[in-house]
Amino acid sequence: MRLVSFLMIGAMSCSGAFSLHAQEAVTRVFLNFVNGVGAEDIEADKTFVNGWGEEFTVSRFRYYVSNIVLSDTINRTKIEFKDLYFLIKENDSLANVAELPVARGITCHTISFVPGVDSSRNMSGAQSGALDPLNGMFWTWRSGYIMAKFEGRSPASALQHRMFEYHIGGYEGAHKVTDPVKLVLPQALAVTGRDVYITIRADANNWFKGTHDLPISDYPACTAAGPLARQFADNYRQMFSIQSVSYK
Amino acid sequence: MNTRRVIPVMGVILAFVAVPFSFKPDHVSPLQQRIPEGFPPPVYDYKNNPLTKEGFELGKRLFYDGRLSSDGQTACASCHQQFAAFSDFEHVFSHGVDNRFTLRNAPPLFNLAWHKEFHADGAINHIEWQPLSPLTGDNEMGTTIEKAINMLQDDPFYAVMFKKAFGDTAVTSQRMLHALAQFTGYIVSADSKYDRVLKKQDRFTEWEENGYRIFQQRCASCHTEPLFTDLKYHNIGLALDTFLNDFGRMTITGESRDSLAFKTPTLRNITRTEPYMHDGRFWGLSTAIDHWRTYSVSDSSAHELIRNGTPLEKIEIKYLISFLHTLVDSTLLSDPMLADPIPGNRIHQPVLGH
Repeated sequence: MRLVSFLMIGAMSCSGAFSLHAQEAVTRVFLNFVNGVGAEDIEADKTFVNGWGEEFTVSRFRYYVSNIVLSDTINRTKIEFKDLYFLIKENDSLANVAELPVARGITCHTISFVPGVDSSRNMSGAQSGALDPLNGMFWTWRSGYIMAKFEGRSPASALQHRMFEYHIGGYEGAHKVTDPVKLVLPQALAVTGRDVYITIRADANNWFKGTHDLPISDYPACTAAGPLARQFADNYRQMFSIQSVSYK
Repeated sequence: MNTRRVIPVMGVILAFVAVPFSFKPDHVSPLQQRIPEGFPPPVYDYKNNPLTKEGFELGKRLFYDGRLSSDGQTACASCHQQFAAFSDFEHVFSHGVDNRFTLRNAPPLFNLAWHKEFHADGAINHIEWQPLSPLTGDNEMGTTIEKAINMLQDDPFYAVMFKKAFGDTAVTSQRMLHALAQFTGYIVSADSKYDRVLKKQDRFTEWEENGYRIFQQRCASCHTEPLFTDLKYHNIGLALDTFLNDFGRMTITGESRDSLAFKTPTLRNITRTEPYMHDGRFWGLSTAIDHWRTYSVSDSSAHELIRNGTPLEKIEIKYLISFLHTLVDSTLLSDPMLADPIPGNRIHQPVLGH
């Protein structure tokens, strides 16, 4: 069963083709993204409350994770995973795992990643896998990936259906929302023969309150790149924290 | 999980890593990109999308297939006809599905491999992404990527074409877009009288010669040879149409300095692509050029040539128009390689003659 689910993760997360010879001295680091609101996990039909006291439900909570880097801050070395793109969806336990092949023997202290898709892939034409525009995370009227998408309903919204809808993107110039997130591991991670599972929690409440005050009542929608999208990105970049690290 | 399982699983997962598609079927016939003499290196060079006869033929069929649209008869070719240099013949705005109109005048399609951005406001950043805009636009083909893919998947004819082009019958958005770029990027215009004159195979008449001189002095800084566009965005002092409220480049950049700036259109095949300007507001070349002659500027953000230019004399306009006629490329307009490959195709489109 586990074998099957790993195959599916691979297929859903990324694609393309190159061959890699089996490397024996490789182990795997899994980044498992869990999406929540405060201490609760995101679930359909569940009502949450944000930092402004506004109630809301969540129908879509999706974001890309790319350009993952594991760094050894003492020896100043790092491992970059440049061609891996993951689309994290609500609490889809199959899709929300980023699998990283890592050589045994390395140590790392920090994890960084772009919560989105780098400029380069925004500008290099038709993509596949997680970056397939079929995934609904690409603007067709104006090229560019939706880096993060958050939709739901709230009585605080004055829009039709009391909906709120945030599609955040922007890959160049003043609109760029692809600054990386850096997380410090609670203790140095030594990659040995055992698989490593790192659970990263994303708290949706950070979207509304953080560097910028963005209550639903004032900002029920943001669907294009621009200054407001940058503010939302500034906020959601802070939503990630490391919840646990375990070895299996 | 035990370690014996790890190696094969790794192999499978890594095989899906998102690197550019690099599959090269060995049975395809490579096609040479057309790069005319004197043209700069193209922006799009097919490095990640090897140009083949099979891919080109698939792209061409997709371009002419109305079944990709929600009403089954609106193809790319509905608004981009070969005889009109792949613009929409004599249409101010084009007709999409459900009797809807486009916001802008359909541009001609040729020499696209030299464009970094597409649309009059530069909204689209890559030739491969371009088709998604008309495909999904409510006022154009009105469909979804998913529906288009499903239609292609259900058609055994396409299964054969995808297999020929890409090695197997899988229909993906990337393959569809790669094939379309193989066709659209292959449409090249560089065989007009002007081109033949440059190659010393033909001679301008006296009026054409005079017109070319005026063109070089007065027009060429934006309509730069050999593409006859600098591919940049300029505000040429066209007043805002308050029904359309189209602010051009500013819509994309959010910068007020880009207000009412639109991409310089190419002048190649210009006599086949009227009406003129991004919204097709001018019929006839003399009317379009008159904008430059009579315009008095109050808009300080308009291009300096507009604000500080000397008006053209009437006779200069006549010379200029004579020259512009030399930019028609009859080879492009009738190249059978670019023609509709679908026998008895009944897509919505204007018909010339008969």
